Amino acid sequence: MKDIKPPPKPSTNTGKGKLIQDVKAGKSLDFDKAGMIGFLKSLNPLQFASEAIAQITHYKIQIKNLETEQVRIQEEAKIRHKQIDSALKAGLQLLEERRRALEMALEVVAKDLENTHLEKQNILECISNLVKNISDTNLSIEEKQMSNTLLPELTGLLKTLGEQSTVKLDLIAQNTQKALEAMPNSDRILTFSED
Amino acid sequence: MLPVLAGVALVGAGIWIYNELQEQSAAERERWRSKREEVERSIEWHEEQIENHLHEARLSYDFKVLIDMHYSCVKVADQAYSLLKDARKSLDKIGEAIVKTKEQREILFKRKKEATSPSDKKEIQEEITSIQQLRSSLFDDKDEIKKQRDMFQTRVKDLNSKTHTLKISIKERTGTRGIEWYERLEARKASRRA
Repeated sequence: MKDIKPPPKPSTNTGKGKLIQDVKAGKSLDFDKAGMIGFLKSLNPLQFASEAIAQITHYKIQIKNLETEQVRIQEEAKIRHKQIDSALKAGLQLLEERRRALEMALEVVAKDLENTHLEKQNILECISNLVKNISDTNLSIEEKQMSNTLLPELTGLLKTLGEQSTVKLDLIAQNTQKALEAMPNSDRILTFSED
Repeated sequence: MLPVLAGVALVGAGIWIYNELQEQSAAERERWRSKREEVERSIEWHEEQIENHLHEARLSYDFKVLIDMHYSCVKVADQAYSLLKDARKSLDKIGEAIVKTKEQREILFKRKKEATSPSDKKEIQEEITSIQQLRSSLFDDKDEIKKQRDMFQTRVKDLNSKTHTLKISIKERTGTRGIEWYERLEARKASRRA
């Protein structure tokens, strides 16, 4: 198995949970009292009253806007929370499906390798018996020669089975590697549009 | 006199109205400021909640990804280890056969030396030749299986190192859930060893 894609790095979340808001857009209402025109205006007694009433009305409207904005922000936050939950749920479901597929593939190869293992065990047992024949004085030269011919056949079979197992192990490692690389990381699954 | 008094009263009323309006205006301005601060604080609070939620969700997702990676790595490593064990057993068996053939060859050499009849000598020589061929073939297969064993050994080491890296990543990067998982895993290992 080659190097696995490095594990997901800790996410940098700064700025990712920002809400759309224009609270700072509201300004205080100040009248221009500088210069000659400002001075002349200030001589008008009704000017004070009209300015004060205008200011009161302006602030009342601003407060109403802020209250609306507050409700809107709360709703937007609720939507964001729901978005996060849904994205996480979808991401976890995707991972679960991939995990199941990978597990099945691994099980198939494991079963195959287990069969090869049992086959090797039988061969090793046969080899043990043939090794005993080497020094068995009760056997004829023909029988010993047969045994000596069969022994390398069996060790050769062990070698071949080992080679086949190597190929299977490589395959399983590569497939696992590919499956793991295909897993999207959390930054791709759990993110908000920057728009 | 009356117009003067009326004038004073009018001015007084004017000043009172002016003051009243000024006060109301200042009060409204103050209410606006405090409301604005309240909304700003509320935005900050919501943003922080969203950040925390997002962070937690990422930790959950990363935890699952890493757990799956760890599981697959362990499974493949188990297979590699099983193949390594098989290769070791095969080598032992071939080694045993090589030793046995060597012993038998020595016996046969000795017997050949002691043999007097040419037919006995011929028969022993045939057996020696057969054993020599067998040994040569066993040595070839031993070399090949040794290569396989070394390769499996490298794989096992590599996979174990990856599994370890993943285990540490789970512990260090996925919050309390990762720490708890790591501790459970270590406890299981310890109980198996005991």
